Amino acid sequence: MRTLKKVLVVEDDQAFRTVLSETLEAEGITVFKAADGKTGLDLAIKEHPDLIWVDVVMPVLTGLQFIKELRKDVWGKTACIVLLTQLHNPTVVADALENGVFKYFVKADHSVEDVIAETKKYFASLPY
Amino acid sequence: MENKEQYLKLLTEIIKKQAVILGPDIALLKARSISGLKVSDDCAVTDIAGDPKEVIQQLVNAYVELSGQIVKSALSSIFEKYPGINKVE
Amino acid sequence: MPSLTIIFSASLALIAGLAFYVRSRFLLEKMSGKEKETGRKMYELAILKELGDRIGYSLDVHEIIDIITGSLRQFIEYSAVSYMLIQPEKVIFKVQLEKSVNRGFLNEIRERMLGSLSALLDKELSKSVIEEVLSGVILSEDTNEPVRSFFNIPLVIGEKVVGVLTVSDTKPGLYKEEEMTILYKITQQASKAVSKLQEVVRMEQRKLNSMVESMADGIVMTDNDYRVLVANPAVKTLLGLVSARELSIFDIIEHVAGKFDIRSKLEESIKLGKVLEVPEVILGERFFQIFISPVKSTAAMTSGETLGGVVIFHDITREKELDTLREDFTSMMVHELRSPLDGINKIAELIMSDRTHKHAEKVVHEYVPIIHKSSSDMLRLVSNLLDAAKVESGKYQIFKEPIGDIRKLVAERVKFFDPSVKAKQLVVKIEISADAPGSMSFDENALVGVFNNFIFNAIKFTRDGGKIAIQAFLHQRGKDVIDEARRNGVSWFLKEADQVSKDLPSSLVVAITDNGVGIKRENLPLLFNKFRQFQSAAMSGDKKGTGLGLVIAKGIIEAHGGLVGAASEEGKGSTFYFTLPI
Repeated sequence: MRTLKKVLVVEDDQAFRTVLSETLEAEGITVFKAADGKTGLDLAIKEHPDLIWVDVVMPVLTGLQFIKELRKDVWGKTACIVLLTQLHNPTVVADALENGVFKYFVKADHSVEDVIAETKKYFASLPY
Repeated sequence: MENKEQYLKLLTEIIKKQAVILGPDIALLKARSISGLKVSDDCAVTDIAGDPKEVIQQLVNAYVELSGQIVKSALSSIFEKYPGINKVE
Repeated sequence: MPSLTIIFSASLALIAGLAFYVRSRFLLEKMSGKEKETGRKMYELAILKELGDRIGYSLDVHEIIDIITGSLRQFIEYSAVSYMLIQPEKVIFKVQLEKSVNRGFLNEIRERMLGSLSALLDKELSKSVIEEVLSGVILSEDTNEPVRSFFNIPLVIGEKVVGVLTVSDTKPGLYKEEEMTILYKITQQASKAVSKLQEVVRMEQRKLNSMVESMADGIVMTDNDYRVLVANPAVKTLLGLVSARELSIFDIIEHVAGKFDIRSKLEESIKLGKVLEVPEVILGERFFQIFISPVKSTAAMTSGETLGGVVIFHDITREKELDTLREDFTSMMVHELRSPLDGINKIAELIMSDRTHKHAEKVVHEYVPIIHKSSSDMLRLVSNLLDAAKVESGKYQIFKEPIGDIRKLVAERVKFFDPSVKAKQLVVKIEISADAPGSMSFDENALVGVFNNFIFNAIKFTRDGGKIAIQAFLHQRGKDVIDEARRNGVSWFLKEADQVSKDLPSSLVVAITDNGVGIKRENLPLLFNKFRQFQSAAMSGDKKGTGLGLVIAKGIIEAHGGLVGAASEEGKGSTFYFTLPI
């Protein structure tokens, strides 16, 4: 059963980013942080995190652009990505799911603990 | 008056053309109603008395009274042949 | 076909009048000359009145002429009444015989009439194709009387000779001057009436045509057999058919194939006798709302009869765009408000939970500032939204203080932005012309907001080391603003082509010009549009601005009675300006 050891949080909203990373760090997980898509992309390729949480609306590179770019990378093709959004935009979500995102959360509808717990559950159930 | 011949010719032409357009009876009747004009039975103007310009004007007016302004267009080709004579209003 | 109709209606009236005349001639003979004259005038008047009453609106010339010539015989003696009508390819020659005549008589009448027309038109008509129609008494070679009395009445409509009417007989001297004269005069009156009527019809047609021609909506009218009767320029453009040739229904069907079944819609509309609507059709890249309606006659004779159909293509692309923008705006707004609120919520959760270090320090130095920032962002957003809403509903109130010092205001604003200016190493210069009033009436708080917005934008969109100029000058009503700017040494991006209102009252013109990245031409029109600006601000992840600032600035300035505007050259810089009437 896989567990999360190191993760990447790509989120421009300081509040959410802080809460998510602090909570994860308290569990002993290594957290890499990025406030925009470009920085996130560089970090992802450099650090190969077990899981990436990425927000949709961000400057420089949006969440969707980040995902598409990452998928072009050899390692990036198989990266594990969870989408975070404040808006429930069907087009965006569908597009993301098509690009291999395995879960998405509407931030305001979940507590951070919830997001982490749910994500862990799904992560653990992955075959490889 | 100078150019009496010219006037006689002009007036004759006018009446003859109106005779074709309207018919000789009415053309002649109207021409003869103008004082100062002597017209023969075949629409030829034999004499003209008084101011010729006046006479021409009256004649044209008589025809205009019958069939309207179209008379003037119909007669313009005739007036063109007599450049010395001022066109009527 | 010009309406000889009315001439002949008039003639009919004349005939009726003549009847009285003729029958009473005996009486007239007995009266004195003066009484005769009066008598004649009275008849003339009576006939003219009848004419006025009887003017019909039918344009079927032949029908009316036949009616007239049919009644003529009761009132005037003649062997034949005939008329000629000049048509584009032939001359119609109709003769109604009252008494028997021979072919020779007929030919002579024909020659006389052609001669009359030729003389009238100064054109040789004897070679024309003549379509002859005889009616009435038959020709007979037994009689051998020539034409001895006749007169021709020219038929003139709209100053054009359209034909001639001739009354003829074998007896000599049959027609008297008075009766002939009356006939001529009345014919003239009738022609005038017809000509006027025709002109009115022509004018209305012209008006209608130019209306249809200039309409932005595409209009196609068809007859009952789907033949295209009218297709205005707009419909040709939107169907992408810009050839000059006539449009056929097949051209249209082809171009809307698969998206709009024009033929069956027309059929349905005509059959049901009602207007149909197709709410949304995409043709090319534009959205259209299409209306299909039957066209019914309202003319007296044929009222209710369907003449064909009309299809109207109404372009709703703009409306759709705005709808989309509005939807996007709403969702963006939700997003922008939810994010900071959610952030505060989660930080609070974090502080309350056991799972993290609850060092007071961290709470004070890290978490609380985040809460503060998020709540500040939200407050600003809500204020801006409120202001924008007020501006939009016209409820934004300004309170003009009577004595305001514009120079002081500008100096203060520039000082306020000093830190940002220094951070980007920008050079800011202030130039207010000497003739700008030292004391003006304006709402200082509101204007602070306007300056804040314009200056903030200038700083944001100018590269490091760039220049910003705040310039103000006085505009006199009637003078050219561009010229005045130049004279005051103002360098900005406004050109002759930019439409600063020609009727601008005397005002102070304030311009903030930068040499930054400039604005794309296509973005200029929607610069002050709430939806567009909000969208681009949100998308750029720019937390400092909501994009509504410009909209609010516009509202504030307009509440002062002034104008706002912008001009730019991409890559070179932009000018944002506003005017304040003095």
